[in-house]
Amino acid sequence: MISSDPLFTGLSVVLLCLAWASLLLPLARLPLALRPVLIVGITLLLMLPLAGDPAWYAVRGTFGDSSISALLFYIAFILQQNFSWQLCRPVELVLLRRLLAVTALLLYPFALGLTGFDSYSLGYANPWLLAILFIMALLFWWRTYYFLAISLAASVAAWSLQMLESGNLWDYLLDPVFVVLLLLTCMKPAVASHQTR
Amino acid sequence: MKIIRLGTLLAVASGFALALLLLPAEQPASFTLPEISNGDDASDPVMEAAFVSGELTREVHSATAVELNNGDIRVFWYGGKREGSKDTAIYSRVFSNSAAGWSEIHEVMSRRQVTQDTRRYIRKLGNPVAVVKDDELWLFFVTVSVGGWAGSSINLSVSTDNGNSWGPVKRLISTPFMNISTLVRNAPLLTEQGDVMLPAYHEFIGKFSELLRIDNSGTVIDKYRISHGREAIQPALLATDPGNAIAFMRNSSEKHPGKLWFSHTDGSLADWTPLAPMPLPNPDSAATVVQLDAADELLLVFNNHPSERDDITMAWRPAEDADWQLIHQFENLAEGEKIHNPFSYPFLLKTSRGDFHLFYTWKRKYIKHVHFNRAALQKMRADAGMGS
Repeated sequence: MISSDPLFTGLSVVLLCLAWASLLLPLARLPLALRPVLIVGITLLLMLPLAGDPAWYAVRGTFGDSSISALLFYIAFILQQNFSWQLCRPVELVLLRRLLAVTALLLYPFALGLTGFDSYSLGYANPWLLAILFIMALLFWWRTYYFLAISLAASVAAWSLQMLESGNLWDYLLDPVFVVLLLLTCMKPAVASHQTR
Repeated sequence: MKIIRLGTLLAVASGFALALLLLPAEQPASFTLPEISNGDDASDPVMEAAFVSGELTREVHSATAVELNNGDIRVFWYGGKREGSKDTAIYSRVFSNSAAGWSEIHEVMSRRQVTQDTRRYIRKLGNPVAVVKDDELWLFFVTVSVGGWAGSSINLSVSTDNGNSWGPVKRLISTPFMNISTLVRNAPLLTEQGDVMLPAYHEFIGKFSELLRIDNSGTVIDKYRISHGREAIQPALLATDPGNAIAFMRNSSEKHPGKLWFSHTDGSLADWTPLAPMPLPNPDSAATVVQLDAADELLLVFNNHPSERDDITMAWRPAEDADWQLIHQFENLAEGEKIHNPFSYPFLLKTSRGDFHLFYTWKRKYIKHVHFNRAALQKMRADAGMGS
């Protein structure tokens, strides 16, 4: 289980924080040479001890683990925001935002006890869910949404290898912090400016 | 561009092929039924009571116990300056059937250890429950990183030496919402497939009961919802046959206050009947239940009041269609005495020898232990006018 490896868990928290910093702070306005310095600075800050433990323990304790899809998106988002490297095309970002918003609506209220049906339980070794995701991945590939296709395949592969602590496929596909960040990206002017490039 | 297109297709095919290859075969869970022991009715009645939690901490709460493979009883509880304080830890001691009696109390789990093992900030520890699985002792317990009990998660540590030392703590992932708000209170059951069936409950927004199926590696591999909405928590689970179970639940509802909830499976663990109020009252407080000589003959310990935790009472149900009979009152708050929640969180353990160990929180200061045998139970029933 990779999630028990401190390097992986630490790195995933660093990516989460850098993605949020890229969203909330005007990093894109800094000179290009300063941006890597700031990224290293934030990373070091998370490693500093807070009440005897690395600060990233507090972030992980509060927000939980990021999904695999989220980690891939965070990498793409950090690179796009700070270095204008485009791994996720604007059209993919829009589609991802819509898909995750709908999935979150179908997942979280039921997981919180809205009805007797728990959509989260569908994530335990359900061949039908896998089949739907496979069709989606093929459709993404056919429409040349390669970032989405790879994200989906990587999440499913990571789940089958149990790379996170969870045995539930949903936890590899999305997490609430990712959904919120993704929805907030539509309000980020910097993203819009990159979209036009 | 063609290379990217082909590479992406290959990646997609590989990812899903791997998932298909490693997809576990569906194995319906069937409970391992406990041996029903009649005990020794012929012996003299034995009923002993003592405080077992000592003076290590100012407050203690939520005792649970398990019979070890050697027949000893290990009890766990959590304690600290107060419920939810940062110094809470899980404590334990062993009751030996030999002349040794009770062992020394020792701390089995601290906030510090859980933080280091799970690599997450932990603010407080809460309810423990344990189960003996083959030669291992599995301890599940609640921790909170942020907020109150609604922010709880479940953790697992395994001991291979009957609880003298413990392996690294593992976090159980049981909800998609930042994995918060799943708690445990009552004892797990085992399945023929080697899995643990952990009764759990949820407290954030919804208040409901569920069952977590946990495999040998300590990973949640399935879950079954017992109730939904904001009505029933802390399920006490009993298997009635390999494929069916019944659950008694604490009533946390505002609509129907004051009655214990009951539900049973309808042929499948995924199919639970709607919550039904029992005739027994419940002041939004935990209850505990064990089976006696048959799967439907039950002993239940609870607070016998619709709104106050002023007593600890035992009820007996001789058969499924019979009425509950009150047979003994272990505690009753003296008239005029005013203490908030004086007696709560009973945990009843029936041993393989057929005698009983009851633990409960006594005025938040102590964990009280009552040990009684079958002859004493017989006497309680006779005294209450029930006969045998």
